[in-house]
Amino acid sequence: MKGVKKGVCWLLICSLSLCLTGCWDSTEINGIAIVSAVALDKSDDGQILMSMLITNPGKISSTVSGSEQKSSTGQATILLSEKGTGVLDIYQKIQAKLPKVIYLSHLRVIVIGQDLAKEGVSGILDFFTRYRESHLRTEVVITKDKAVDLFKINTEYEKLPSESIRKKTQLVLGSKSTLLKFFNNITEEGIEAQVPEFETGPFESDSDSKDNEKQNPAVVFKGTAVFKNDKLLGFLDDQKLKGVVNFNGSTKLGCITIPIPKEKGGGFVSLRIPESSTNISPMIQNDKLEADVTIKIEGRIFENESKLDLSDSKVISYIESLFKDTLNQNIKPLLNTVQKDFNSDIYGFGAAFHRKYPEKWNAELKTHWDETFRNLPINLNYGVTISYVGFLTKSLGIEEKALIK
Amino acid sequence: MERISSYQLFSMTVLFQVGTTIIFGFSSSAGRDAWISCLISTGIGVLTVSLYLFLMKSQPGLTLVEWFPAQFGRWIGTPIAWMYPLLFIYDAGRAMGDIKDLISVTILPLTPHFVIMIALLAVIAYALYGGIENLARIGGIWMPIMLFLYLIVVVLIAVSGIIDFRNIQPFVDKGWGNVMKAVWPLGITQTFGESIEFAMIWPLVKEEKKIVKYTLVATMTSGLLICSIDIFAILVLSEKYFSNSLYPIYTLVQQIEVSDFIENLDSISVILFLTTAFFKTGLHIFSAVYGMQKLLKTKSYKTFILPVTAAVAFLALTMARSVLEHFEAGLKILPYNLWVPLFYILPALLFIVVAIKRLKQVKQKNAHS
Amino acid sequence: MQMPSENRTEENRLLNHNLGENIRLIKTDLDGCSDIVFREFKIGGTYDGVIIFSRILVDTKLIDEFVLKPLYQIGKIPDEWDSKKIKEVLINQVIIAAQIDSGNKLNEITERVFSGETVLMVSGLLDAIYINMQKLEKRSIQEPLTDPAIRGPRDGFTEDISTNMSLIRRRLKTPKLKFEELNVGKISKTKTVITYLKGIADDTIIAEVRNRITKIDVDAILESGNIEEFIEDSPSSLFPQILNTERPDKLVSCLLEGQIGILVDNTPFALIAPQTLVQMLQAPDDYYERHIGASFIRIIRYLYYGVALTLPSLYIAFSTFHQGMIPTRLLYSMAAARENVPFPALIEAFIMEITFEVLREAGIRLPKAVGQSVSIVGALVIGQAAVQAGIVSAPMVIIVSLTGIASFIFPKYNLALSIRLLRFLMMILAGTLGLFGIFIGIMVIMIHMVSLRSFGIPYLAPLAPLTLSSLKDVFIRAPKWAMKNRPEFIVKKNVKRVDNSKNM
Repeated sequence: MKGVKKGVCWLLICSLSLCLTGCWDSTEINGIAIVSAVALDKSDDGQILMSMLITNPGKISSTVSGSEQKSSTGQATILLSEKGTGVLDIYQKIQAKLPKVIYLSHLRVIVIGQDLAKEGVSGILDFFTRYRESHLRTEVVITKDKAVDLFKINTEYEKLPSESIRKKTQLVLGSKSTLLKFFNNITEEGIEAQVPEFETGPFESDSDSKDNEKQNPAVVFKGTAVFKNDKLLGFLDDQKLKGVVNFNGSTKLGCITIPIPKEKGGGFVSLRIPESSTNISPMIQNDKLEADVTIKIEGRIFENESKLDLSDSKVISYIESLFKDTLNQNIKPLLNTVQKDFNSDIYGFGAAFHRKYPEKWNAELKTHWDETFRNLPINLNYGVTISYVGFLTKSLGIEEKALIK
Repeated sequence: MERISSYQLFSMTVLFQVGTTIIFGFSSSAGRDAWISCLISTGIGVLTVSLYLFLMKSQPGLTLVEWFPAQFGRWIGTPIAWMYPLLFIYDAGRAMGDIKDLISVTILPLTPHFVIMIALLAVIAYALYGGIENLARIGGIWMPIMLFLYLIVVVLIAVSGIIDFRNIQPFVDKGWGNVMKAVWPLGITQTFGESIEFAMIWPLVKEEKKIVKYTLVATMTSGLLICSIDIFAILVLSEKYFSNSLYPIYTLVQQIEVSDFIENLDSISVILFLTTAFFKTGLHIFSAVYGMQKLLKTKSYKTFILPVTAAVAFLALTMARSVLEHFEAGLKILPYNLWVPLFYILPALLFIVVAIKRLKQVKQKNAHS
Repeated sequence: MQMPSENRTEENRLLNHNLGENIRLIKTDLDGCSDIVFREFKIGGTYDGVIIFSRILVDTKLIDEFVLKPLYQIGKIPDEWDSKKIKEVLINQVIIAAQIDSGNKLNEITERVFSGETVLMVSGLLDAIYINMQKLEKRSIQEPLTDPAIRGPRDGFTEDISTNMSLIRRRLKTPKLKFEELNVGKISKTKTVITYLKGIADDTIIAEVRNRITKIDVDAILESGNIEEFIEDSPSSLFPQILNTERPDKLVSCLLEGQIGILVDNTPFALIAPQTLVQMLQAPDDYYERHIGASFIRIIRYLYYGVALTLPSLYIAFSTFHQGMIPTRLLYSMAAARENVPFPALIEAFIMEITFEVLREAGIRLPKAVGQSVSIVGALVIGQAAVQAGIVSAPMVIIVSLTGIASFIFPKYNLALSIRLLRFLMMILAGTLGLFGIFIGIMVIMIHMVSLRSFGIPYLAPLAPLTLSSLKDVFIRAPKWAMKNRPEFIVKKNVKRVDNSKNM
């Protein structure tokens, strides 16, 4: 028996030493080109234009001794782009330009240009859900410009445009817009996808320095893009953005300004919204569909430009009622646009019906949901509280008598 | 005589049953109701294992391959008994094939398959040369480690904020037919039916009285473990991805992201799958060689280890031309043609024979007294 | 054939009546041993006598006072006394010595002389009388060098076996403490003592230890390590299966847990068998410090057992196979640090690890005063310079130093040695197959450990096979009053050690 055991031992040693003959899959860290972001555009001749933002590690962290001296010059990122018929095709073309192996595990952001997105994106994003190195946590972002332009920003302050975009999405939207979420929304019944939209804009909004915009652009969050299936329909921005922010139940940057009517002295009060939640509850009564939306928002007053006396609880409840009105003004047109103009159920009313009435959904609602959604009555309810007024009760600059209760 | 303790039996049973099924997401064809199919499968699985346990109790000290000759007589029983070691070899080849594909797709795309196979099988053979005791002890060590890692994964998923409870509703959306399709035959054969293999090991357990209790608790534990993993996968990935992905649990672990620091843990999950597959294959090969020893009545099973391991490696490398072919065989051909007859029909026949004999004995006794 | 008598001269020749002949024979045996003294004299007028001793091993003052002086003063020996009577009188009434003995074999005489005894032969007597008046040069009891502890007794074993036995006896004042003496080594005849507590230690293990030691057939035993190699279960394994210690308190605590100690003359290192991996990771002051703190330290020790084994290989696996698992920011700084390094990570790690091993060995071999400067030159100067020159990357230096420090925290040097060796195997595996390779490596090591046994006790007990009740002393150290039983995987009888009913 001992002989056999020894034999197995030797077999083990031999098979292990077999491993020495080659390291098939090993690549040194300095042999990989770490891709941090990808931009997808439609080129003029109808092909796909893909740009890869590859980081240059030595320029990012320059504190390492040894490579310190040389790294003071040069860009932190390298931008490579190529045209082709599909992602893998372009991948190979870009690889041919690089001495290092393209590495996609640290891909953080995929930016899609408007033109391409309008034709549908699920085909082009398939590579990123299928390929070994990429993962579903990558964020998807839309831009009205050419997607590559988002990478050509000022990198003095933020060295990686990809990180900049990713952080801003979370800061403004409060949630991530990952590939997983995007595909879930596309494929799931009764819900459509919405994706944050970014544009380049000037750091300083002073109109005097005209060339500022070209030299030092920044990536700015502008709104959200609305999808139907995998095709871009349009954007919710500017005016509707407030509604988007409020409705989405976000966010860290949520803030709302409430104008005070003239008879109460005019001016405005501004609140920060640290917490809010949106709850959709569908109802079917006598074959009539209806949806109740309850939005619970907590506000904290941080600015008071009116003459209201914030030490009075009656005043606070008055502001709360104004708060509701303002919310209504923001959200009503938003829902109207979504329902009527886009007719794209980005907030998942359909999915809510599916969860609550699965049989009914499968039997009839599913087939003509678009039409139903267009005319779905939505009741908005607000649970509004103002919990803090900052460090002050009465504003300092106003005399006691001038205060309005 | 080698002996294993009840705790070791418990941990080996759990590791075996969790085995390779976990990689593919248990009954992922049922979509977001996979966890319901899983619970039903576990229920039926416990009954199935109880049947095996009853057969074991009624023939004390005999292993699986000795049951048939003992009840059906030598000429009918022996050929039937021979089918089991052969099936176990084939199953071991399948498990290795699963692992080979998984590793190639995920962590080592360029490494030749035979290197992966030889490395893994050499370790398994090395373990088996030390005897089943060795395998059992390692199982005893790995069990708490696995549970600990599982808990860590659960905590990390929760902390990552990627769970969406809306993903799991509505329940039984596509009807019970869809749920049951995943239960029969795949759900109950691949994990719980295969547990008939432990009939080779039960006679080696030290405390005979505890076998039933430990095996049933282990079966329930592994069932619940698989279910909970299914539930997490559905909550995070949602139905579409869960049922379309080849390796949903791998993707599930990949979604973990805690404060930009803990991310891409997918390679770790591969290592976890490797350990469970290690035990599954190890037990398959052990049952096969031990069964062959019992059938051929030779002195030691260790002489069979090398040839059987080589056969397993050969099977794993040549069984299927592509991942899809491999999957298709596992989902459509195997369950009906091999697993159902060997895991259900034959034991059921055996049960009937044993029951009739019992009744006769009782009658005779009554007649005498 | 005249051969039988010839044969006798070889093996066990007896003394004969002729004293002169005896002396001649012994002198031929001891030819060239300049330290041997043959002092001839007359006893009681008619009898010739001789004492033979080694002047370097014997206290001559004592011989003068208590052997020669009484012999000179003996007066006339009556004629009717036969040789038996003479021997009896000499032993019982004349010579004043605590340890006295007699024998009639010629080659025993030389043995006794070399072990420091004095041999007295008188003409006509068929027996020689052995008188023990040794004078041994011994080191005083000092603090053990290899087993330091923050808290605990400061006495350590010395090279003298009787001192060592006294250190044990002082701690266990019971007749159950047994010392079994054996001589091992054909030339060296090294005194070896098996010690155990009867009634606690398993009799089969005692018999096994005794059996294995008596079977040793070797010319000399210079250190307990020689014995260890002969009696181990798996001599070709990397893992030590027998513990060595310089601390009497450690040995005694092991005896109380049913293990068996082996003391060897001329070395301060005692052996303890059977041993398990878990016990080798226990330090003596775990038991003297407060139990919560001690448990914490112990968990750290287990953690770093893993670090010492796998850290470089994990670094290699992550940096050459699974770069995706490295957090993005960290990956950038690692890549920046490696930008100009000419070697692959595996080679880099090998260079650094081997350099570190060399530095460590150099530090041990050199005199203490120089040793420090070696570590300064090695660690600081070379490390710093290598990084600045871009030959190795800074993260690699961090990894190697961390691993090095991790391998210092083991209480036992030989255990650390096994880990240091296995680390290289793991690095090769990681360099070729990444995490999969590490998995394979860990499995092989685990299977090997699980199949190891030390005198019948599984090496990984109480972890595998699992003994729940003994887990109180594995990852944590439960307070003394909570560890009611001796470890059950070793001790089969007389298990109880704390009776809490009286501990109020």
